[in-house]
Parts: sequence; structure tokens; C-alpha cells
Amino acid sequence: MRNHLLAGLSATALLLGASIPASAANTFNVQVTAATVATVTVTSPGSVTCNPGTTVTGVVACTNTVNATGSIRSTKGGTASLTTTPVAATVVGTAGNSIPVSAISMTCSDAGSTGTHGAATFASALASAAAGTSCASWAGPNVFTYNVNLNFGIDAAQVNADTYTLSSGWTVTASTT
Amino acid sequence: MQHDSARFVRRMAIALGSAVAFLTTPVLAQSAAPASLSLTVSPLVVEFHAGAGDAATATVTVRNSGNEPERIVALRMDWKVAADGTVRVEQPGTEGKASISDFLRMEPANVVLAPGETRELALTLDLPPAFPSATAVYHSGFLVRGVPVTGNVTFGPAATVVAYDTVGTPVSHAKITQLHVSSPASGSAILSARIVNDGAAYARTSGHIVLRHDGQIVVDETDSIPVLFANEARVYNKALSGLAPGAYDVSFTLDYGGPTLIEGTTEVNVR
Repeated sequence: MRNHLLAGLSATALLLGASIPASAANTFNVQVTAATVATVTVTSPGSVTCNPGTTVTGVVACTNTVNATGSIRSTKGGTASLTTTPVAATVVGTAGNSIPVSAISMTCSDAGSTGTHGAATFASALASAAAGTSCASWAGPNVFTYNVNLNFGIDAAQVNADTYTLSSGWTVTASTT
Repeated sequence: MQHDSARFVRRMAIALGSAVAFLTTPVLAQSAAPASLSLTVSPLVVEFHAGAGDAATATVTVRNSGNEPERIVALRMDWKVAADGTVRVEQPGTEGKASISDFLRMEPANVVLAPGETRELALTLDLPPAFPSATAVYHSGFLVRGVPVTGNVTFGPAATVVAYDTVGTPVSHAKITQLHVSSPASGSAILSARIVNDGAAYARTSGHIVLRHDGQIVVDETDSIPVLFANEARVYNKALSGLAPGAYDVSFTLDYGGPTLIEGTTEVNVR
């Protein structure tokens, strides 16, 4: 098999040598620069509604899903990641009650990522205004497209009766180091 | 008190809405069309080699990859890497002496792009003459956000541009200070390695894991490990499954990008 490959290379080299004019025989370098890059497309529903109903303990799933798609190229050893950051530390209800954003949990799941990446980790964690919340990470090297769903839940035990609306301005952030 | 809470909770609803109108009215019965914003940023990593009194500039390209006009806003930030490798955005200056946020600027920092439009932003590091001359690596960066020109969306896209500045020629080195492999369940093993950056440069390391069973290599995997700054430590965990019961020789080799490799070996009995 190896001999066949060598023979094939020799034949190719001969052909190339025969077809290149003498004036083009000078050596030249081809430089390819591929920078780190990320595309983030976030599609969110008009509202994510969480209704614990009669539940007073435990996490109750919210309706609707936020979807993040895009692509990331990292450095050779760079981990690629998605994080979510809320705009404020509390959510205030129309009657004046407030809940910490840490009462909101987020679960990320793969919805069809493709390409070259290392081990993938999808997180389920509480929202944090201070440091953001891990959603997904991929060990490098990375050249891939991702498709990640973000689902939310609410800790029913932390919620007083009220109607709460989250301010706009949450971000889904792509990063690599 | 508990009775009151329970009664109230039965009537309670929480809505995470995007429209301003939602802020003043109950939202359970309302709906709005899904909103989509898209943003492309490159590069995500910028490496400067500037010392006291120096200025350096890099170009960051942003593109509105969506179908609606979009405002691009660049916000200065500090950052650190969490154990899982995700970047945690911090207020500028949080990283103390390691931060260069006061000396970074991105111009323009606020620009409106039409769908498909691309713009180049200048990322400049301008260090004062009094900046420390000690050999070290400093870091900060920008959070680049895409927001709608009109109206609001609950969730929008963003990307971080992390900037490193290397002063002098710091020595790269890392070491393994602990290596442990256990078998918590049948057919599985968990490798834990504590890695310390004992050099002066930041390290992008990778770990090479080899498991041998009866003289045969049954696991041969390489993982990248999130960036480690000088004097930082991180525990790298790796779960392995599908292993036959028995004794295994374990080798974990750390490549920190320097001239040598660091290897640790141990054994594990898989249940």
C-alpha cells in the first residue's frame, strides 16, 4: 500500500515537473491566516413564561426555548464556550416583589452541532448576574458550528405571588481564550 | 405565613418578556414574535507585546450577520477562565495588577450596521510610561454586543475579544502536582490531575491520557485544557467509560508548549 502511494506521488511529481514552464520554477510560499472567529445568532421567543401553578417547592420548567446557533474557530488549545448573562441581579414583579435571578435555572443542550471540536460539556446551572452562567464549552482545537437550546426553570420556593417580567438585555456570549 | 405564601404562589406567574409593553402588564396571556439577532466578531484573541510607554493597535472586524439593522456596542471588561473553560466577564479592573483595561480602547465603540454590513474597529493598547516593566502577562478585553436599533429583545448575541499583553520574555512552565484515578462504577474511571502554572507566562496546555491493560493501549486521548495564568492552578477531570474490569497503568502527559513534556503515572483497578 505504501509503495503504491509513493509510486503515485512520483508519477504526480513527474507530471507537474513536465507541465511547469522553466520561468515558473522559482519557489514561493503560500501563507494562510485563519483568525479566531465567532458568529452568534440568538433567536428568542417573545416571552418565556414560568408558571409554578400549585407547586411550591422544586424547579418548575418554563415554556419556550431560546436557541443559539453559529460557528467558532479557536486557537489550537483554546476552549470555546457559550455563557449567558442576565442584565440585573433581581427580577421585580408588578406588585413590588422581587426574586433573585439565581432562582432561575438554565439547562443547555446540543441541538445539532457539527465540525471539529474536543469534548463538549453542556451545563445546567443557576443564573448569575455577577459572573454569568456556563452554557456550553468545547475543548479545542475548534472549527465547528453549534446549535444549542437554552431551557429555563424557576425555583418555586423562592417566588412570592406576583407577575414578573425580565428586562431585556440578557446576552448569549461566545468566547475563546 | 406559609399558608399565605402557598395561596399566593398558586396565583403566581412569571414571565420573561422582551417587549417594553410587557413591563407594565401581566404577560401570561401575551405573546410576541420570536426575535433574532446575529453577530460575527474576529479575532477573538489579540496578543500584544507592548511595554511601558508603548502603543499598539489591532483590528477587530464585526459583522451584522442578521436580517435586521443592529447596533454593535463594545464594552471594556476584565475576565477570567472558569474551571470548565468558560470565560467569565468581569468589571474592568477586577483582575487588579494583571488588568490592562484602563489602557485599552476600541473605536468606534458604538456603531449601527445594516444587515450584512461589516466594520473594522481599532483595538488600541496605550501603556503609560509608568506601566510596570516587570516581565509578565497582562490581560483584559472587550465584550462586543449586538442589540436592536429599535425595540428590545430578551436575549441578544455577544462575543468576547480577549487581549493579552506580554511584557518582556516570560518563562513558560507548568507542572502536575497531583494525579489520581478512581473507579467509581463498573467499567468506568475518573482521572483527576491538578495542574499548576509555575512559569511567568500564561499557558495553553493539553493533556494526553494513555491507559494500558494487559500491555495493550486501550485509551489514547488528548484534551486541551483552559488557559492558565501564572501561579494559577486547575484540576483537570476526565471521565472514562467502557473499560473492562482489571488493573490499568495510567499515563498523563502535560504539554504546556515549552521544550519539555511533564508526565505523571499511576495505576487503577477498574471494577
